Amino acid sequence: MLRSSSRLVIAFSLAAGVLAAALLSTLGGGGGEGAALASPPDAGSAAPPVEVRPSRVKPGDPEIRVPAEPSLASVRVELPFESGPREAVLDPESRSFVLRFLVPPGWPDGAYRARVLLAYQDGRTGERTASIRVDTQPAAVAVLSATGAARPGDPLVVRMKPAVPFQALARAVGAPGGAASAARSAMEVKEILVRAPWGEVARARMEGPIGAWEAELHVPRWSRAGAARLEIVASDAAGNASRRSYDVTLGAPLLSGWTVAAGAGLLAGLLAGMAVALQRRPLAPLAPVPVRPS
Amino acid sequence: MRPLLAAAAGLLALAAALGAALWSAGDRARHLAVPVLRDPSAPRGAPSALEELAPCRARERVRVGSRVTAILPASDGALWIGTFDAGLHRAGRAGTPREVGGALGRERFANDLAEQEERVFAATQGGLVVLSLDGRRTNLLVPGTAVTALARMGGRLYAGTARGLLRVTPDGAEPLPVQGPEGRPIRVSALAASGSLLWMGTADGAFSVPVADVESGGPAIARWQPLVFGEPPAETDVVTALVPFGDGVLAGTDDGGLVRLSPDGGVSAVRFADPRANEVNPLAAAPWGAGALFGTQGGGLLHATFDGGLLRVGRPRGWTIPQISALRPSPGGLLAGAADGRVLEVECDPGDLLPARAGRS
Repeated sequence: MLRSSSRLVIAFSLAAGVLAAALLSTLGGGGGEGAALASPPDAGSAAPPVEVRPSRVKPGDPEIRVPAEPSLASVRVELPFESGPREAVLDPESRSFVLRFLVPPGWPDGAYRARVLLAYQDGRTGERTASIRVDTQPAAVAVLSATGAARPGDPLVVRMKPAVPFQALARAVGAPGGAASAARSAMEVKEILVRAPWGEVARARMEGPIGAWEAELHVPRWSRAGAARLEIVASDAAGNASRRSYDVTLGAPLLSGWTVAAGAGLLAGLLAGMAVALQRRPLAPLAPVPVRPS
Repeated sequence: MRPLLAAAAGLLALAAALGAALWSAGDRARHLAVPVLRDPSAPRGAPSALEELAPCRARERVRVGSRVTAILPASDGALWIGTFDAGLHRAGRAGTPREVGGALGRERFANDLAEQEERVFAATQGGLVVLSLDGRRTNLLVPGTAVTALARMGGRLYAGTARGLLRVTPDGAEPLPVQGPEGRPIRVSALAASGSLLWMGTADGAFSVPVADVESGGPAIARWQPLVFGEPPAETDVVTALVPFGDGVLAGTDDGGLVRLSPDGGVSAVRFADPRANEVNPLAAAPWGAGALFGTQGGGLLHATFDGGLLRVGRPRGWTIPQISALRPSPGGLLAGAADGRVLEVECDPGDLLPARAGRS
């Protein structure tokens, strides 16, 4: 169990974090979790939305897709890490123009803009942008609470939140694509796994109004009381993973194995003794019980 | 009394600001992080140095206009090449490659190639294209579905997709009811057959299932092995390539080096001091001798082998091609695809690739 002072610090940190993140979110102009960004449409032309899948990538092979409206003749894309534009191919199955591209290895983290150049059948042209977020930094994890007094046989629930160290926020300032984008990348979590020393792996789920990630482990009945170290791994949408450990204290069972064994031995001895005594001295007949009339 | 009132007013103002911020953030507030003074994350383990191996000789055989993602030496002697975004190419025994299959749209984004029943199967982002050995397209299976990997096992061909596993023939694709332990579908990024198990790589670790369970016709539950828990664990759960290795498989990862997975659930990772060598290209892996080869995004060609129960990994001395994007053993040796569109014939004696200390004096 966490001490009350630790709870206070975490509660205050959470409050401050909410404020800081809300501020960052306001500065960054929104863009919900996992949402691909598209620029506002050009005046006078229908605006096909531009989609980047996956929205956050390590150096890999994502795709940019533009719906193939009947009036659209071709789509070219200028990527921030290539010199000239490349032609997107028309995919009849998905009715979209698609460009498969690679983010070069070693490209720094941040949000980058790709220019999407549209050519229409009637000669008009248009331009959109697509945001490509390169993210190689995992989010850290703070443990809010754990039922550290869990006894063998009981569930052990661990509650966690993504954590953003102040150093990461400091690094975010001046990052390509802006501090808000970098800060969002630093705190984004897609999955948290918790592994117990007895080999069980639990996948955490986001629960409750504050969005705590809860993982439920099951302490084996044979587990000994004492300290146990949990391994916690958090992954984001781009596959970046952070790792930490967290120590919990497993409480003693109501009756430990030795206690049960000693008790059973005592009980067996008592019963044996009674049996021997009964054999040596037969029971005397019961005396009549006086009954007082009411 | 006054300081107490001021403190209470301050707390009230903070609570009001917090409430307003939460109100404006709505459901997004649940995704916010806790600021902490110190990063609680554990530092990464010490990386390993790559051993220096005997040099290999590489000679350009053909060149196509795009990054090579798959290579297949077909049974008729032709060489098939799948590319990142320029379709499928076929080169005769001594000819230059020409595009085949008439791939359109996302079918031009090839991921893997396999031959089965005198047909060539091309796994693409737009479906599974079936072609005759001379390059004519005969069928398109699961159109619109990204087919990420192919594996042959027991005379059957399996295909991995983002929606799960398929058993394929030239005439059709049958979805197989294989799920993870939590009933979640398995989004396959790599496949390998080893022993009696079919292994599936995903962005969420590796899964294995006895092929007998797969072929039983009923639902099969695959065993899940997250890479991030092991002795030592990997720094990532993203599998990009799988190759049979001993009684299990060796997994290449997106940026966490190589991970050995054994059928008893064992996980053992090795990460390298050269960061680019930790980035294994999708499906760029091949069995080689008693070991395995991997192509990386900037660390060149890696060779992994067992030595006294330890995984040892090295790189041929003087290797000059940093990005190896496809690998395939061929009757004449090894074929390697490069990011610049070259297909190379590589001459390496599997024995020579063993580290000098491992077996050769």
